Amino acid sequence: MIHPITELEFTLNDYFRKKGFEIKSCSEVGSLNDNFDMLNVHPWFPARTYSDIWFLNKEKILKKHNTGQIYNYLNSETPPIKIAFIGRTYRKIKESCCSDSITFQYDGLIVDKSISLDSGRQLIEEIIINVLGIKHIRTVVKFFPYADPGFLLQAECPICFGKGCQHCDEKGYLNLCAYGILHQNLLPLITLKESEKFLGFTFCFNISKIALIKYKMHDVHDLFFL
Amino acid sequence: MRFSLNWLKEYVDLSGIDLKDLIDTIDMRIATVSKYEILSPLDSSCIVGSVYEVLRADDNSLTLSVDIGSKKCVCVIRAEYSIRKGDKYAFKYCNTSDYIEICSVSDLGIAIENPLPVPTKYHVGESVMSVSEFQDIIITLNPTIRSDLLGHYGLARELSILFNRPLQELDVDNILVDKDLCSGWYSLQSIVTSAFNTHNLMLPTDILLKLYLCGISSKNKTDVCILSEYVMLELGAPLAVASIDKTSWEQQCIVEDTHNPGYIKQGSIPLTKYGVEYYLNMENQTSELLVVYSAFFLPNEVREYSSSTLQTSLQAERNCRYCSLEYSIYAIARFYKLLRCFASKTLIFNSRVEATRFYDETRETFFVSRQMITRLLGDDRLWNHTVGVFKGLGMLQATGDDKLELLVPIWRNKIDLNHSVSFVRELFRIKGNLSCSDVNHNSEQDLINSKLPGEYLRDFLINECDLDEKYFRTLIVDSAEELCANNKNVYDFSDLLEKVAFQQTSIPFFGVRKIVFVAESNVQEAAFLFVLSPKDAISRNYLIIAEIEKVLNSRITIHNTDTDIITLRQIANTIGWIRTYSEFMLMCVDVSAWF
Repeated sequence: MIHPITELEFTLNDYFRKKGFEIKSCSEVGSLNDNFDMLNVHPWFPARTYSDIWFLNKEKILKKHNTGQIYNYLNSETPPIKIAFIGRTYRKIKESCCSDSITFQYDGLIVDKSISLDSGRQLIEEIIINVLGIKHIRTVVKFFPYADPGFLLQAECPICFGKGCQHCDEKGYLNLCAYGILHQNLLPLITLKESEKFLGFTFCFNISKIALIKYKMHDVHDLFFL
Repeated sequence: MRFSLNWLKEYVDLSGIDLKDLIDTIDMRIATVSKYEILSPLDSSCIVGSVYEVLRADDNSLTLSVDIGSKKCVCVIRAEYSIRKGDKYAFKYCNTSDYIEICSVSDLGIAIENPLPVPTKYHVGESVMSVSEFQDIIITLNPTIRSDLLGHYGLARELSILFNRPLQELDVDNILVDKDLCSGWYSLQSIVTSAFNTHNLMLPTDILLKLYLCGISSKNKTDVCILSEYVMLELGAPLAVASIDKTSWEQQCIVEDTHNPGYIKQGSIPLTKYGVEYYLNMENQTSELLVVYSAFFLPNEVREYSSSTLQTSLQAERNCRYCSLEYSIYAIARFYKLLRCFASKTLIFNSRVEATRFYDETRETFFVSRQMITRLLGDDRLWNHTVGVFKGLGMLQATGDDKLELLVPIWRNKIDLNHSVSFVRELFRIKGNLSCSDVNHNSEQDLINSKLPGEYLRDFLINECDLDEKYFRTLIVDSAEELCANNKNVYDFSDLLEKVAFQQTSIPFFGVRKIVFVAESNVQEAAFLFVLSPKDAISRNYLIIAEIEKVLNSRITIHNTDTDIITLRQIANTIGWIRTYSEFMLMCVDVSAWF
């Protein structure tokens, strides 16, 4: 018997390895630059609230999301790129039984000539449905500064079955994965000449909430006391 | 942002649509629905009363003389509300015949403790049950960056496209400034169920705006967010109605000097870094607003905002949520300026450069081609829907065989529609989920529970690195205590960890419970078993490692271990530090036998 987060991590690692992904590690400390500026997030953007970020000093922060790591990979790797990485993220948020200050995120990046929104969406749904065994999902179009078009994959709350309860903040659905086509402001970093051919696809699984649904847990904080 | 269903129905026909479907559609296609509330009908004993006298006591309690038609009664309110002579509210009878109670908004089922105002068209003494505005459904949407979703008409436009219903076109002729109405709005707060007159827009006055701004600074952070919603609700709707392209501007005013001295009075406090210049005259309690930044551009100065500046300026010491403050004020500035522009038919810029930018950027067009959709989606199935969708969204400028010319409408900001692919996103949003081939959901592939984590590493070492299985020994225990009890040289550092973890202040430890050190004679290097909940919670904590070194009196090397081991050399370097991340499993490898 192993910890749910670990189990999910190994499961996803194994799956992505078979799909030809390179599994990387991810730092927990970043800067405003790589967390927001380089991801096309405007300085005034509401999600960039200073009061939502853990500052270590004037420059360094605890990462609010792992997606900033893709900027480093876009600069260091040459396409085609297939990378996946897991890491912890920290946010100052109002904690509830389904949201915690610390979240485990499993991110991925694909830059390829053959990738499209169709194939990317199939990859995500295959992982959620077949690999993780989660049914009753839906997709919502969502605005992300770094991914356009961006989508949010939601799963039905296992407690209330979509009716809305305390477990899911009365929404009936839990956000499991954000994915989308990499914004054009980020993709030309690779090569301007090839930007028409290469397309970037990025995704981010919320491992904590996947664990909640997969193991039918009632409180995300239980993950830290197993 | 709160939306009234009755109000929406005035702009678009929503008959025959199930409420659940409507909420789901808004939630999935437009903006996240935070909640929706069905207003509870009031008791038949509640009636409409008109206030004809207001007496304020020293303790801020109000004594109202109320006309309820058949007689005149007295109502005492022990709270400070902005109730004025002539206002109409809902009242209910008390046990005493000469006294009545004022109804609260919370009586409708909305968690707001404010007096419940009644529109002036209803007569005194009339039963409140006949007030149609109270038979409504309030939909609360999470704030988005879309400016058109700050008002009812913007949401109605989206619904008309999604449900294929005609949208009532509004032709705005006049813009009225109605102080009485605005006062009513202020007290109405979230349940603004009174609708706009079709050909008139009604604006809040400067004084009301000042109240909002002062209120924002003096409220706690929860109220700030709520308050900003009201502002957006009231000011957002006219923005979505008006079309800047159809307005004939009679004059263009370019203010070269940012600080126009004509607007600054003695004792005023300038706030210049929020996209709005707002001068609050503290002497005579009147406000003057001059928006000199272009409302259509976000100034760079927003980045440099200082929360202390705003707080000091408004003489507020409470802790506010800074982003909400900034965002609220920006929203007020943006809408208020636009409305004033429409009222005076004048465009105001603070410099000639911004005027040029305005005209340049409003003419920016984007192109969406069949080739682009094919590249993004994999095929061009959605191409046939493009003309209808973009026409409904008010974006279509010109059509071609395989190319569309699109323009960002004035009610959509350029932040979420800033390149061609953004328009494809709009296409996906309106047409629902992607129409691509489905995943085979019946596959029995389920990797969970098939392997224990250590087995992944063991299989990898055996298969990829040609290591013999005899080198591996798997030890499965039920708990760390059992591990320590049954094995020599196993140390439990739980107490030490707790002690050190509590000393840490910069990076708190979450969920770290136990750490066990394992050393066996046949292992070249000791293997650590970090009994943790989250992975890597301790990996960079050299302080704890240093404490362990003290106890063991030996040097410990930290490796950046991962299961993603590539070469045999790396395995040799790291295998001594296998961390299984599991409380119940330990794998020891005799690496000395490899060489």
